[in-house]
Amino acid sequence: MLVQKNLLSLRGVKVKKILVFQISALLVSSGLFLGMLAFTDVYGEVQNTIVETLCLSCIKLKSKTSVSFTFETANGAAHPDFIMKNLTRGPVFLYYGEKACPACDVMYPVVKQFLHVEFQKDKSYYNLTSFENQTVVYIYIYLDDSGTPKEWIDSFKIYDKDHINGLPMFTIVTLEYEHGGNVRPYYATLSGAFLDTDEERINFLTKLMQESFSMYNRNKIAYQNHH
Amino acid sequence: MKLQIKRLVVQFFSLIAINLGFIKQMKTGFCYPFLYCNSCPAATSGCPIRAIEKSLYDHSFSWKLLVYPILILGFFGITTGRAVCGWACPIGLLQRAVGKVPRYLKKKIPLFRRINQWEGERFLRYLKYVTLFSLVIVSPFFFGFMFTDICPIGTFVGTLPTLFLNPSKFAPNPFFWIAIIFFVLFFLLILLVERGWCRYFCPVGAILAPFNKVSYLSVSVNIEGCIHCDVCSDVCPMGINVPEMNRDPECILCGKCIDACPKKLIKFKRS
Repeated sequence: MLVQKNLLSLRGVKVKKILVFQISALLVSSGLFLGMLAFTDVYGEVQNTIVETLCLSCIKLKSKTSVSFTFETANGAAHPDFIMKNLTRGPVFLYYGEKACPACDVMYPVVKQFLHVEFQKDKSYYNLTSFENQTVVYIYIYLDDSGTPKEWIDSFKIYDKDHINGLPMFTIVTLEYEHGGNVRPYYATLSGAFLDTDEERINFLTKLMQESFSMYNRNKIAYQNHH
Repeated sequence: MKLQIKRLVVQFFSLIAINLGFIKQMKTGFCYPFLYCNSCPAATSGCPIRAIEKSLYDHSFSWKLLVYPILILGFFGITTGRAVCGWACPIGLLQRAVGKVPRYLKKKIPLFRRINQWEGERFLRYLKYVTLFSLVIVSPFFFGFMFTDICPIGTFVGTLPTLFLNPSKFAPNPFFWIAIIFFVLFFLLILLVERGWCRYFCPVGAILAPFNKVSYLSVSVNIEGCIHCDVCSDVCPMGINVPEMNRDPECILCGKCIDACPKKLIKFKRS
């Protein structure tokens, strides 16, 4: 009888211990979770770089490589100021990348070689470079870099023409004469690690850039006079 | 309402709730407490495994992305153990839907019965911990994604719907067919072994499983009145020897054993 009573009391102590552990663990985990939501940018990071964007290589898909230029932005918003300003210098080449994106890693050396630029993979970057002796504005937008200006990050949705939401994404913004009588930004967007070899990719980008420059050179004086 | 009907209703509403992402405002910054792909066109949240892999990718360490999903899983783990597997996970619902096939095979074909009764089967359950450690933690840090590349759930709810909904925008890349092979193997597995994915491979299950030992909610068996009819073990989709289980890490708290016990000796227990 005594042994049974002792066993029951021991069991009671064990139950109490586990309850204390459960309550403490619950308080700690929910406290830390709420703290992370309140004091870190992790919610936005998960939302922007995991939930709202597609890592194309992760889902074993590539975008179909057909490129067409358009005046209309993907979400109807106006072209950002940093694009409008930089268009006075030359066509703007935007490269969007993120952490943990194997296709971004594939395209990283391609872009370096194509535009002769040296930049760190995990830091957003701006540079004036040249393509066939003409100025190109190169902007690398790394979505996971906390130092990336918000205006740059927001431009991802502006130029995601086909609503692919996929990374990596490349946009070339040039100038073209609109039928309404104005010279306006005219852009084309590509997503994913398109084509099969680096050489094919560079050739493809070269043709696209040449086309951009022919439009840009036709329209730059009219644009520069207005800006 | 019967417990299994209640569970079906909860699973159904969970399936709807996690697929509200087609409404733009419902794309949140939370992580699911189970395995579901954020690449699903209708996903509302992120896959916890994707966040963990990303936190460790390519010799980097982002503590926020590592701790955040673990806290979410920890919260559910401490309160209900692996109940999310049995009550909320959509892949659990899929396995429940096809669960009659392995049960039928086990009943009708002696080979399947023998496989299910094989002593070494319990060791296969450790594979999910190996998957978690090697493919989710070690591989992204040193070599690159491996679990993401072969994840059949990602192929099922992410890749295939994205491809079929946008055939003009996307085309398969060279890894697509490898992923399809793993997807077919996944389907074969869940058709041959009841809850085969949860038992052997689910890395989220591997994170949640140890919480069964300390969770507030658990399944308790009053062994004193047990008549050893084994009906409870027979209906258990996770193949647990129910009378001998003591907060078994494999238990998904589905409650089938509670319904089945003729003596009503099995109950959900709080604390």
